[in-house]
Amino acid sequence: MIAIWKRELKSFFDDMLGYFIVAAFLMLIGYFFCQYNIENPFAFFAYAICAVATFMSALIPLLTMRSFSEERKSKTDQLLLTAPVSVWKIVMGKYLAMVAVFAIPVLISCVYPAIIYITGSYAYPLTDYMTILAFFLVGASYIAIGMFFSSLTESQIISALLAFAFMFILGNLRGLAQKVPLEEWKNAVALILFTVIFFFIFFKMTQNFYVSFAVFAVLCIGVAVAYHVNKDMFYGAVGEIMRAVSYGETLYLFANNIFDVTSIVLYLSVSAFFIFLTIQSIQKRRYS
Amino acid sequence: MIEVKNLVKRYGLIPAVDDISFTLKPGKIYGFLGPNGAGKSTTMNIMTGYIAATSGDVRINEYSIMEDPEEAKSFIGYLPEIPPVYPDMTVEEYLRFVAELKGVKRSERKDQVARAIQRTRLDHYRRRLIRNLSKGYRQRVGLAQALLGHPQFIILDEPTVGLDPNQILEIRKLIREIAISGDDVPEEERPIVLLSSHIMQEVSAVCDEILIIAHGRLIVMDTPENLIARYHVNDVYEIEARCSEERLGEVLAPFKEMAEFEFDSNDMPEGISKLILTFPKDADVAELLFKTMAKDGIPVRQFKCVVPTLEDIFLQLVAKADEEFAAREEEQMKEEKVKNATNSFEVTPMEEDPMQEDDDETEAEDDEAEPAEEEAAETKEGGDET
Repeated sequence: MIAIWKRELKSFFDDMLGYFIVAAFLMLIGYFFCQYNIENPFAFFAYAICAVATFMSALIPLLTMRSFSEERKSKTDQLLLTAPVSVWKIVMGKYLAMVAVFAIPVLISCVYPAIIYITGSYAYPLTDYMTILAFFLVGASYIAIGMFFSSLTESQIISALLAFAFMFILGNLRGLAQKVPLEEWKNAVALILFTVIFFFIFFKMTQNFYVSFAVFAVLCIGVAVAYHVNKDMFYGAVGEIMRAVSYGETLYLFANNIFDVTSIVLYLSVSAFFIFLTIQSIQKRRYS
Repeated sequence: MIEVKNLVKRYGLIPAVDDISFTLKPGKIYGFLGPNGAGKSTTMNIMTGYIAATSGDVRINEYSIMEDPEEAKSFIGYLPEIPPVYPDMTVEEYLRFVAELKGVKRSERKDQVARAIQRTRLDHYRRRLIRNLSKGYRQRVGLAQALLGHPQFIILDEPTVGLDPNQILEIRKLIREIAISGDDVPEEERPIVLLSSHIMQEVSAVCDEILIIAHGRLIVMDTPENLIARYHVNDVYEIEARCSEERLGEVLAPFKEMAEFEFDSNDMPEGISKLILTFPKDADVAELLFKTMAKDGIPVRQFKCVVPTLEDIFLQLVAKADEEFAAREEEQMKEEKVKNATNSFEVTPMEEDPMQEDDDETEAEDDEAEPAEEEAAETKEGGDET
């Protein structure tokens, strides 16, 4: 795992990509620091970092796009997968290398609250550092998402586009949730439609019609029964779900001095989930 | 020891590897031979754990590649068809990375990398970026990579493809060196080398045993000597002489009981006859034939004893496998047709479908009958002329 981590990290800085990512983040952080904290006498660096976070869905895919696509295209994955190393370790090695690249601008950004603290009349370093930590965790979960999309395809461009689309939607789910109708029956129908999509994905992945159909049927019946028993549950349910997994505004909670454990758990579980999916996607390819 | 048991790999319904089993023993070089698309690379990829088999198992020193992949893989050095090298690394960096990846101890890493570089004669290239190396040198880097970690099993997928003749000879020499290098260790720990190729000449030059596969099936596994012995059933003599076919036949009439006669003068210049004589093996009649013809004053232009080469045997076996494969496919199609027919039989009136089935069968019978008839016709012709 350490071997892979070292190699990956080195390869980021053997060409321009690693420097580009670090520089881009630093430039954005510096720009928003000037905007929020210098030109306007505003004591929270946290808001500057929240503004940077909106650019994450554009920058992180650049970092992750080649992680597995490139290996697969140049057939170097044959070396990794035939070495006496488990897939888990390969994935973690790569993931941690990308997280390390991302950590560089995050660490450097820790200087800014200190600048405010030293030079300003007001400073809130605890809030700022909390927000930086949350920012880092959001980035780490985006890296896991990007890595998963990279493991799906041989093309770096496609993996970057897919990752970007997914992260963009994830970041804006809260806004979209407001447009979702609230009536109970519409929500129930939407949930049924989701299970249909889920059924197709499940069937595609397992190639087992009966099992996937059984899962589908259970979910459908579950929705129907729940609808009969307690209709109120469905009032605005889809919107609620969207808001629950939305990344959009969670960072602002931290900036408003709320240490939101729910969000931390969300970031960590999204990371874990997509690392798991990446491992599965690589294992699955061995079998097809 | 490597044991491959009933290995099957299907892509959809198409079998790429169709029930292959064999055992490889230490201290030997094995050659995996087959036409393109025979399933060589697929088998090797399964043996090294790159892809999973549909069914069957590969055991490496008693570790199953499916159940204990990490242990099993630690015995293997693998050079895939395309060397798995990172173009943005130098040769030395890359080899050090692979050594670490394979879990070579820190203290041994430097020595092993140096030794691999020396064995593959990459000394002058160790600081070059792999990006800037030619195909031949990348292949060497790939080979060096496979040697790291002292693997007991070295699996090389077409190691000489795309190299120039000098490099081919060098790589072959190297492969032999690797196999011999284990002479000072106990027999069970000597390296096994398995290399694949679609060129018989290469395999027979390097390998102790040959595995021929075609259409995903193992056709034969034997030493080159045994293969020749097994498939060298007849002594065939080709005689070109300046006389008519009838005269040649008359003169050699005493051999008629022992040999099959076949005239093939069509491509010969005028007045020259060509006769192909097929004797049972070890008949040792060359001198006698020559004497007989000399006695009757027949001017012999060419007299040749044709010994089948491994290449001939390989082509012959592959052709046979092709036929069998076609037959299998036909059978499958027939089965499907029968299935379809019986399915529709339940729905549609009785009269049509059973008829169709019958037709198919008679057609197939006709097909089988034809070659036999042709053969009969040929022998008749031969008989007439002699």
